[in-house]
Amino acid sequence: MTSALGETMEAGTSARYYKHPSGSSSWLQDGKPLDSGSAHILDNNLSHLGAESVRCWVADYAPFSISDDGGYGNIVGETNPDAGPEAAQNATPAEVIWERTTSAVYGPFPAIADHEISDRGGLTVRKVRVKFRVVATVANGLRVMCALTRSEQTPLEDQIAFGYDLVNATGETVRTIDLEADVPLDPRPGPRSRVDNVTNQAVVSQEIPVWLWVSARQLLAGSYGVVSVSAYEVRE
Amino acid sequence: VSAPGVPWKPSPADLRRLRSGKRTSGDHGRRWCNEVNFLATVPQPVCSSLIRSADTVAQSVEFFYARSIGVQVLKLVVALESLTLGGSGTVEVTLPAGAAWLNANGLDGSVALTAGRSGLQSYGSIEALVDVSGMTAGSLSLFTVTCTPYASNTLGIYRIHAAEVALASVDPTNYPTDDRGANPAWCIPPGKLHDGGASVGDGFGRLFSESDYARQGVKRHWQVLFREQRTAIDVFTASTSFTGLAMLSGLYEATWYLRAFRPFKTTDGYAHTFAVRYKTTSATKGGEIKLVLNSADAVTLTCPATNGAWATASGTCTVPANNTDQLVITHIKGRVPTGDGTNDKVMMRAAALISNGA
Repeated sequence: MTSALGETMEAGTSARYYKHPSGSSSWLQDGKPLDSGSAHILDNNLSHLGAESVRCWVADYAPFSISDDGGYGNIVGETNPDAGPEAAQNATPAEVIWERTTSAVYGPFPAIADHEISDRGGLTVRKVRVKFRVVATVANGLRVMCALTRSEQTPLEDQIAFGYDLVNATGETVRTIDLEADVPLDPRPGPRSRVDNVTNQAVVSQEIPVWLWVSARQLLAGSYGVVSVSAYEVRE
Repeated sequence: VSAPGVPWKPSPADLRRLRSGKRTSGDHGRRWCNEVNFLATVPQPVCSSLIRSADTVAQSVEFFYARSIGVQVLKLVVALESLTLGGSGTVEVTLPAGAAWLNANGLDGSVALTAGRSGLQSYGSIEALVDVSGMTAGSLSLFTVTCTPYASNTLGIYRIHAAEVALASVDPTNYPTDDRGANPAWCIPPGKLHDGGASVGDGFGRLFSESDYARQGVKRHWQVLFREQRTAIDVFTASTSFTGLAMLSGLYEATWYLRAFRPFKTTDGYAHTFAVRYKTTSATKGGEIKLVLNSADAVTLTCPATNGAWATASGTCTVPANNTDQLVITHIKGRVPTGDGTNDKVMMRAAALISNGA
């Protein structure tokens, strides 16, 4: 749980929301103190809903093709700087070129900066868990990777988090990557949220737009595929 | 303060400050208001899928949407792709009842749009804003996005993304029904309550109703989209038994993962609506589409024959929250039990799971 969340009456998986009579059901009267039990329930409920307010980002199927050159061959004049036997030893965003056929981009997601950065303090966007459902005929022959960016620029230019995993088994498996940004982020003025009811003027909302990128690189000869991609926020 | 700003993060506090017999600071009341304002307006992603439908003929994609209480605007993002340089055409989004364009940005079909060639690094997404404040909150509705290439052009939808836009402010004082949230100015120290008038719904009482709106009024979407013309992986064929979506030459079944919403105990699942957009190739032979969660049947939808017309089937189900990390393993299966084995099929182009717990 991050520092941006309040305390709940029970901890861990026992934390829960407690239903409570609404304020209009006459138990709440002008000038009377709020009983501590109701105060605890209200505070607990708000903290628990805050913890549970994580969201699903992506559910997609076979979103991109897999190549052994990271898609560099699809771009005129480009060659993969990370080709050759040493490729299996390296994992950087430059391993693929993040073009349309061999990668996928999703977003912009309206991210929320209530996640404490692990080792240096400050708040950043919530951790995003990406699950690749993959198939492989050769172990250690496929690397899946993903990244978060703050614009639609590719992870080569604008990533705030990058993760990868080597598919070290054959057959159908699940690879899980947690993306955790390590830079403090604050919301910026975003699109209009509506026309103000009173002044009839546009209201500008604040948001942190974040894009999610996924891709894979074939390292060894064999047959590989990404069956599906799922991504969602987590509180860990 | 008639329009308090919406905080962008929760505010932490511990419960030991709220003690029996002791007065509670009015600051706690203001913090609760801010918490309610934050929770009631957490913007929800609606869908995000690659479509990759570049073709010489018009193709459509549809997605479901159920508006969260209080949300005013939906952001819609469409990126196009062409298999040739400079493929052009139009994209027209058909809005559901109650929705209106704030800024169509060419997605209303009125503008000629040109895509970059597939393989380019430049994505060139088009962002449009839709006023959804007139849509009934929580009601299942449908957006249709149709891409029509010009003659001799190859154009299609590369990806679609939709997400609710965060509110900048709420105005529950002037608009207690339309604007969710609570006004921090209602919480007056030292510790005494204003319960609010019944018609206005302000005061401390509103905090309890608004916290429950935050639980049940925020609509959590999980959604998979399929392109219209694809015939291999979103099709269920004649069979007496259910089969999954055949991925990668039919060898593997599509599997997705989501994190369950768990407001109550781990043993308590939460009610959701499962909806699919489907059509049948037959005029007489319908099918069934089933949602399977953690290897257990969640709901089976009956899909009457539509003879090639797209239709909606929906039902309610419970999403379990008792797995480690609240993980839900999701499969979609289907069959045409009375089909002829060759021609009778059920095709699907959208499947959505949307929270609807009361």
